[in-house]
Amino acid sequence: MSWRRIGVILRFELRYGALDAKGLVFLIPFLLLWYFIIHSFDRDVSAWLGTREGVIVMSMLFDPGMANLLFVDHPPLLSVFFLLSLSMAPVFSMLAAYDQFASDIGSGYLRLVGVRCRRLELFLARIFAALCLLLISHAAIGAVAAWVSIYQDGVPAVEAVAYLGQILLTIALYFSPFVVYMALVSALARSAIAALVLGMAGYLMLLAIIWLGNLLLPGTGYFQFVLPSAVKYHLLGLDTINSIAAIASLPLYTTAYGWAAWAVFRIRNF
Amino acid sequence: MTAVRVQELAKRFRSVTALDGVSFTVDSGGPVALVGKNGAGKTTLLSVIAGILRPSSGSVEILDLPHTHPDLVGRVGVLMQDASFRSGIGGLEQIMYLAELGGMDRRLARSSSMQLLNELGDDGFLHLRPGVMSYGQRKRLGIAQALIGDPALVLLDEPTAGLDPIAAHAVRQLIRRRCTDAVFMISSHNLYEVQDICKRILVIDHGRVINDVDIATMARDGNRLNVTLNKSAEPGLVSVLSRIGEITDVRHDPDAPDRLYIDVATADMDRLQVEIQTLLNSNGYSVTNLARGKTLADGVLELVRNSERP
Repeated sequence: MSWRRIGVILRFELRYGALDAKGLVFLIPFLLLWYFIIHSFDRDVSAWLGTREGVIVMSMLFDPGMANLLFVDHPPLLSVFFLLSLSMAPVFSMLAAYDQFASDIGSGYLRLVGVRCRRLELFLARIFAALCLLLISHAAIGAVAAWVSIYQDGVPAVEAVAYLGQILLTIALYFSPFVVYMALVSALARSAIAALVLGMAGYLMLLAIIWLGNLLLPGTGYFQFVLPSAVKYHLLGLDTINSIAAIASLPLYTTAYGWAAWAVFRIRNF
Repeated sequence: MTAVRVQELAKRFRSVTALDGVSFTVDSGGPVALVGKNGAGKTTLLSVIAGILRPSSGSVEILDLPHTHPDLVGRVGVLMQDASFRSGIGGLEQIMYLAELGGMDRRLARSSSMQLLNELGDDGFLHLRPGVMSYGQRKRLGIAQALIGDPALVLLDEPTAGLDPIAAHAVRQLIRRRCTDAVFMISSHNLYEVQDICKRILVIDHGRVINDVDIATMARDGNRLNVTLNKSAEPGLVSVLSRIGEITDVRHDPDAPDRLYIDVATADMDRLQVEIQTLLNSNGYSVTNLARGKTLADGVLELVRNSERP
C-alpha cells in the first residue's frame, strides 16, 4: 500500500469533491443550519445557559449532573455545538459521505482510476476524504463557537481551545463509523441518489427494529449497540469510566463496518 | 517476458457467459487486435485483463505477474468505451491527477499531460470540463489518460470510434510511435484500422477466441483478386468472367459497384491475372487497381461464419 498515492487521492478529492454537487449536498445544509444557530444564539442566551436558572431548565432536558457539566463546567456555546454535532452526526455524515464510490462506479470513472492505484488505497483515501470534509467543516464552525465564547462570553482562551480540541477529537471518532457505513452503502449502489436513499433507509430501518425490539421483546436492549448512536450519551463525559468505554468502542464500530465495506468494495466490479 | 498470458479465462454475469475458456499469450511484437461481433466478449476480456472485472475462473498474468499484483499498479493503461471522466473537473487536471498517481510530481505531470494532448492533435480543450467537451475531445482525453505515465501494457477499447479522420489519424500515429515501448491490445470494429496498425488479430465470438492469426499471413492466404475498375461493372460482366474455368466465384461489392472480388483456383496466379485483365479490357473496362489476397474484413467474416457452422 502506498501512502503517497493515498495522499494524492485525498488531496484531489478534497480539492474537487467538496465543491462539486456531492460536496454541496452536505455543505449547503450544514452551513445554513449552523449560520442560523450561531446567528440566533445571541449573547444573552449563551450567558443564560450558564446561570442557575438556565441549568434548572436544561436539567429538564438532561439530568442535572449533565446539565451542570455541559453548561457550567464548560463553555455553554461550545457544549451546544458538541451536543448538536453529536445529535446530527448520522445525518451530516450521510450527506458528506454518501457518494464515496457510487456515482464513480455508475459512470465507469473508477475503471480509469482503478488501474492507477490499489483498491485498498482508493477505499481508504475516499473514506479519509469524507472524514476530512466533515472534520474541516465542523472545525470551522467550532472555531467560530470558540471565538464567540472567548470574546463575547469571556471564557478563558485556553479553556475554550482545549474543550474544542476534546470535542473535535470525540466527534471525529464518532463520525468514523457512520462514514464507513456509508462507504459500504456507496460500494453497493451505482448512483449517488441510490446510495443516499439506501443509506438513510438502512439506518432508519435499524432504528425502527431497535425501537420495536425494545417495545415488544424485553431483553433485546443490547441490540441497540449495533449502532454507534447507542454510546452517544456517554461521549459527553459525565461518567469517566463509561466515557472511556464509549470512546474506545468507536474504533471497534469503525473496524466492523469498515471490514464489511471493504469486503464489498474489494470484489466489486467497476 | 510475456506481456499477457490468459489461461482458461471465464467470466459469467449470472446466467450470461461473457467469456468461456479464453486462452492466449501476447508477447511484444506489435499491437494485437481483438475483433468480433457486438457482445462477443471483447470489452469484458479487456476489463478482466485490466483487473476491473474479476474473472469467474481462469487466470491472467501481465508481465509474468498475476494481473492484480501490486507491482502492476500504473503499468497498465486502459481506455474503456463505457468509462467517463468526472464531469465537473477540467480535463488537464484529471490527466494530471492520474499522472501524479503514477508517481510524477505536479510539474512533470502537467508537462507530460500537455505534451500527450498535443500529440493527439489539439490541446484547445485542455481546460474544458468533460461535461462540455465534444465526443471526440472526450475520446482524446480518454486516450491521453490511458497513455500517461508510459504504461507497459495499453488496452484500448475502440480508440478511434467517433473521431473525425484527422483526429483518428493522430491517434493511429501515436499508437505506432508508442508500440515499440509498450504492448497494445486494441478492440476495434474498424478492420481497415486494424489492418493498418496491428500485427496480429484475435477473433472473439461468443466469449471464445475462435482464431488467432497473423494479419500479414491472413492477407496472403486465399486465392483472391480484389479488382477495382474504371467504371461500374454491368451485371453481364460476372457471367463473362465466370467462363474462365479457374475462376470459382465472382462477387460485386454492393457498396462499391466498380469493385469485384474474384476467387480463383490456380497454381499460376500471374498468368491468370493477365488473362483476366485482357478479358476485362476487351469488354471495355480498364483495371485501376488490382490486389491479391483477402481483405481483412473478408478473412474475419469467413472465420466468424465458419465458427457458426454446426
